[in-house]
Amino acid sequence: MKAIQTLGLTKVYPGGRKACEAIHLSVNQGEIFGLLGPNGAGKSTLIKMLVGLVNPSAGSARVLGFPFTELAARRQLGYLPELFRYPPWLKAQEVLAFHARLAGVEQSPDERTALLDRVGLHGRGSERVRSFSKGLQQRLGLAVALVGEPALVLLDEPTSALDPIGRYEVSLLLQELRAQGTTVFLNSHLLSDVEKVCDSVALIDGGRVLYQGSLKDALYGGARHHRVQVENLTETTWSTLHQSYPAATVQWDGKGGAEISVRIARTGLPGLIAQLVAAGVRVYEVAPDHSSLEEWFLSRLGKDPQ
Amino acid sequence: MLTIMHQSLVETMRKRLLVAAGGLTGLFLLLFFLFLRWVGTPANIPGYTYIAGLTYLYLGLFAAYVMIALFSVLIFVATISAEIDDGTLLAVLPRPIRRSHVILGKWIGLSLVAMAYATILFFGIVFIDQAQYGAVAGNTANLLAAYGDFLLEGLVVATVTLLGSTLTSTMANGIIVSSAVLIAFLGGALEQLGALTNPSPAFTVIGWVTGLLIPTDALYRRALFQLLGNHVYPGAIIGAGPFGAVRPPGEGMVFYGILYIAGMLMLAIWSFGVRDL
Repeated sequence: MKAIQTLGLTKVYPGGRKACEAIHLSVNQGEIFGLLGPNGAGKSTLIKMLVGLVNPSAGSARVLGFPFTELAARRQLGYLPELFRYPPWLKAQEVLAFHARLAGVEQSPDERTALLDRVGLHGRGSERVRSFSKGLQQRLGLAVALVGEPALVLLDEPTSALDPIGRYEVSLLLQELRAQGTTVFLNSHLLSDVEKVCDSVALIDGGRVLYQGSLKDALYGGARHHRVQVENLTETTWSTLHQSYPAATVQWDGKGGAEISVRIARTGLPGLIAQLVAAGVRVYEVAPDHSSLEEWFLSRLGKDPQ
Repeated sequence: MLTIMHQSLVETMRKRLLVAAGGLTGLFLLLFFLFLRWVGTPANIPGYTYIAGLTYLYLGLFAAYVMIALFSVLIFVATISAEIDDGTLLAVLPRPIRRSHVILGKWIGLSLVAMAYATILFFGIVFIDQAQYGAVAGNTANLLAAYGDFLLEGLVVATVTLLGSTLTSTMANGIIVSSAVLIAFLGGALEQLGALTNPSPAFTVIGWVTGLLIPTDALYRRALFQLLGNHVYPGAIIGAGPFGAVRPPGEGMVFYGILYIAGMLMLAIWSFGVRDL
């Protein structure tokens, strides 16, 4: 069973604006899934459809095995909205108690205290929400999303108001949740955070999915530049190699060594190395040029990472 | 639903809404009491006590009519719209709770507050008046019927305001509902004026149309007739002119009021159910 499975989920707002167009997504249980995309890509609309805040125009979805429109789909679900507020006249403990009642779970005061401690709100349970800064409210929002130990947590920009320490703590918390088997669906513009914690990502733009797959494949899959440190590379060998890889370049260091720069898929590396070794070239190092998620994100959206 | 209802009640207390409303109502009743004490009763004028009692009761009830309508608008006006704007509902609705239960929970919780307010105000005015001038307002059945009409008036305004809160912004909602209540009052006044001075059916039609649009005024005038009608003191209700109830609505208006509330509540549930947040 998938934690989330959407089938052609579409949202057309009055006036004809398409926020999401036939979205097909699949999120495995127990993984941290990152939803990426520029502003207005349709990310928040997609999440809102999944949690019942926005009615879809077409398509369907299953959440934790239930049709997403059924209440059963929301019994094991925690959600942190992007823009939210809790009643300012409530104490942090009371916010958790209220949401526990809404979720239909029993929660003792000690459990509430432990939950507040977990999100960095130690000793602040009896303070009213109105006294909380934006960052503290976001921490409280995380605690609310974790009420009842849900199997699936959807977090819409959970670190946007947090300082670097808070962001670090949240990334630890997300990894902790994954270790417990909780599925995390993360929408964030902070790509470095996504890169740190996510197992899979989806990139959407203009309401359409441009990519869905593992983060590793996004960063390391497909043809990419590699630097190959060699010795004993002759002009003849290079000429032969260049015929196979016309875009490859070479730089001799004048001491018998050379660095070949070649764009090649990971699967093509053994063949390249075998060809070099067969020609008597000694291969010392093959290193992929590391591109960050941000560079991948920009290139997929047709922007020049430079 | 019970959780939402409980939360709505807690909210009114935490926001000191009840304290403020209770304090202001208490102040109003105190001023009404002092006013009646200071006005006093001239001795040796036959029937004057009765007329004074009815007149001041009428003034008090008119104030109650306006205050109940205002209170109902104010307590319900931000119910849904403000919670959508500030994001409170975004955290609540993804919970396993139906939107209809959110509407019903809020309606029941806040209606209890509005009804408590109407009860205190209505009986406060009647008892203060009767303490000064004796029992002038018909029998217990009349009193309870009038009380029921006042409760319905508050619930009509409350439910329409709740519906508006699912459809439009807080400020627009407040303006629209307040204007509707005022238009209903003017329509009712024209109908009564027509009954007193002009046999043209146009006045009656205006009263009917505004009464169907929002039956607050019709219910108020029905309540007024229960307490001040000819069966209580002949001619008293005519003395109030367009502000009286020469042509009071019948029992059908009570049924219409109940149906109206049920219809508006169902519309609010539907409207909130299809709304994207």
